[in-house]
Amino acid sequence: MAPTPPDRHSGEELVLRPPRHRAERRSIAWWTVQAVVTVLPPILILVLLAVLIPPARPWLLLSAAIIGGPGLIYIAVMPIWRFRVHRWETTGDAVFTRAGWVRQLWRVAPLSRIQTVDTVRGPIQQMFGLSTVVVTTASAAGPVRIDGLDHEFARGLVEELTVITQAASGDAT
Amino acid sequence: MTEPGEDWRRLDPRVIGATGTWCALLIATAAAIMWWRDAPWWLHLAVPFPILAVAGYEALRWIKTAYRLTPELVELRTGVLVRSHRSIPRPRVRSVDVSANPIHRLFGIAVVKVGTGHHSGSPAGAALTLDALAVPDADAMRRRLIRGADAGEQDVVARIDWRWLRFAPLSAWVLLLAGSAVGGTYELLDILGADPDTVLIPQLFSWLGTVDLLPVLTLFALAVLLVGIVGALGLYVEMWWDFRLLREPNGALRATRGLFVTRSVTLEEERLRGVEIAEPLLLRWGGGAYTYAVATGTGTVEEENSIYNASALLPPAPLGEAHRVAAAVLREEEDPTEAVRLIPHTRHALTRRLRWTLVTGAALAGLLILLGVLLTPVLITVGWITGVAVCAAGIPFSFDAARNLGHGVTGRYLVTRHGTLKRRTIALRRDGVIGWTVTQWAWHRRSGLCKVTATTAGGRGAYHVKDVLLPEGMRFADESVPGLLRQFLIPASSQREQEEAP
Repeated sequence: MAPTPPDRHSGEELVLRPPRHRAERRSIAWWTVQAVVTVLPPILILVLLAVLIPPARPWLLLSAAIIGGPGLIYIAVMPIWRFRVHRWETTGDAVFTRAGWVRQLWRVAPLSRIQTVDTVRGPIQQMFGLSTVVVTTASAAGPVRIDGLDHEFARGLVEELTVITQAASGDAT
Repeated sequence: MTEPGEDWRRLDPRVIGATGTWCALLIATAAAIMWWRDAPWWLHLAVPFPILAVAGYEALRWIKTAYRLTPELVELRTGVLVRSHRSIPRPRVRSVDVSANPIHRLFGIAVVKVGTGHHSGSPAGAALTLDALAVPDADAMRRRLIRGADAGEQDVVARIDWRWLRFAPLSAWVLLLAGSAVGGTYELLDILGADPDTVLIPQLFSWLGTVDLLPVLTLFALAVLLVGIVGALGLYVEMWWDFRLLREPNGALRATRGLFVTRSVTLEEERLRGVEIAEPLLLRWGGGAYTYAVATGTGTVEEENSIYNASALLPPAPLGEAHRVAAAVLREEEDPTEAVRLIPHTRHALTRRLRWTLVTGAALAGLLILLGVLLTPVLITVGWITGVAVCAAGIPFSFDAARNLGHGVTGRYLVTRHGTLKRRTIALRRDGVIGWTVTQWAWHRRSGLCKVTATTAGGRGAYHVKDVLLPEGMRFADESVPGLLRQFLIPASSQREQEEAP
């Protein structure tokens, strides 16, 4: 059976729409803290060394600036950009997410193929009362993650998805 | 065959002898080197102790290890210091892999690996290893675990044809083996006390100073290449000796092969998700291809890079044979990777590859020239030559890579093709797709260039349609798995307003 070639004249081209729901607004704060925690320590160590080792000072400060410049841009830009990108949605038969910032990922997983649904909360996430829902399938491509959900809400979502996926039979491969 | 009792059984005791022999061979080699290097007498006295220690440990492991096969479970209790008890429900068993190295064969035993075909954790973690059983026991174990494997006739799907040996030199093994031959010679000289660093290499260099360099180096390169080719031929013979691909009466596929290390892999048919035809550049020029099964629990990235890939369905063989076997394995009239009409990708894919080549070349050249200006003028020359070389090599590859891209749907399969150094054509069962991923860089938003990935439980777990325009990628995904993606699609014209909605 030969495939029909794409017909660009009959019918309109279809693209992915954004999923329906956004992450919680306080995710921006979470991502910012996370970025700061990632970027600051190496800079602080370099600056500290620069203070302690005068002969190597220019080189250490140069290294700190080389890491610090892009680092600051990352801290300033990533959280808001991420918030604009991150979306999620569940329908009667699928989980649909969009994540990332410079590199955006849309993911669709049919509920019938889901193996486990869990919540994960890192220490910084806990400070903001946020949770990530992790939906695993049998693929080695990694789980589908819904970041930046309110903790209580995430628990409800996990229960709901677990009930639906348990109703599906088979080993989801 | 009678179903065995539910009693616990020991491994074959000959495993102690086999491991002891293996250790004794190693130690004997070490002793020979020590004798050659005039080691003190007390070192020679120490020789038996490691052998005894290893044999003792093996004996302890043999005492502490037991396995049993119940109607529901395969169970293994093992561990000398840390005890473990692993059990696998028999319906979950998806693969049984029986292998034996030369020492195992001398002792008449074989190692049995039971795989569940589930990706959770490492592939090794999902398996249960019986190291080792007597050969008849191992074979009986395999036949009992793969249901109905011993009833009726086996069909031979494919067997080795030694004319295919011509494909052996067309592999990266030539260079790898040539390199390791040079390295191995150096190591051997070093161990034997010939002092290559301080004596031989200076002598070699002073000798090179007295002769005409070009013919000597050419001859040397040819000799090393010849060693590599002989090595690759030898490896091909070792790996694919007596290769047979069999269809068991219950539909399971069994591949057996090996000259010194024998190996037999059984794949249950229900694990099969498709096939992959892989053509590394040289092999492609020679008209040959690898054939792999896309099946749950095998063909992971790590496995593909090792010598033994359990998902191999054929040795490197002519493309026509690869297609024939792929079709037979999938029980199709024609191999979907051949039957499909692949839709080529737009010029965006080529533009992107050319841009990458030019940017890489320019960046390398720029960096070297900058350093040249700051430090030494030699680097300026090196810089522009590097830039030109990268572009000259990269541009033909860019064209080839872009030309190789393609995707399509045929019958029960979706097919995707990509790659230039190793062109892969994958046919994946449409009902084996367990999700979609679309990846797009922010700067490709306007052009709509993206990567559409079908995720599956088998093989590498994710198969890509690279550098496709979003609408065409969505049409392909929607055609492959009807109904799943459609609910998330909208006309391209209304995309902007959707994005602004809360």
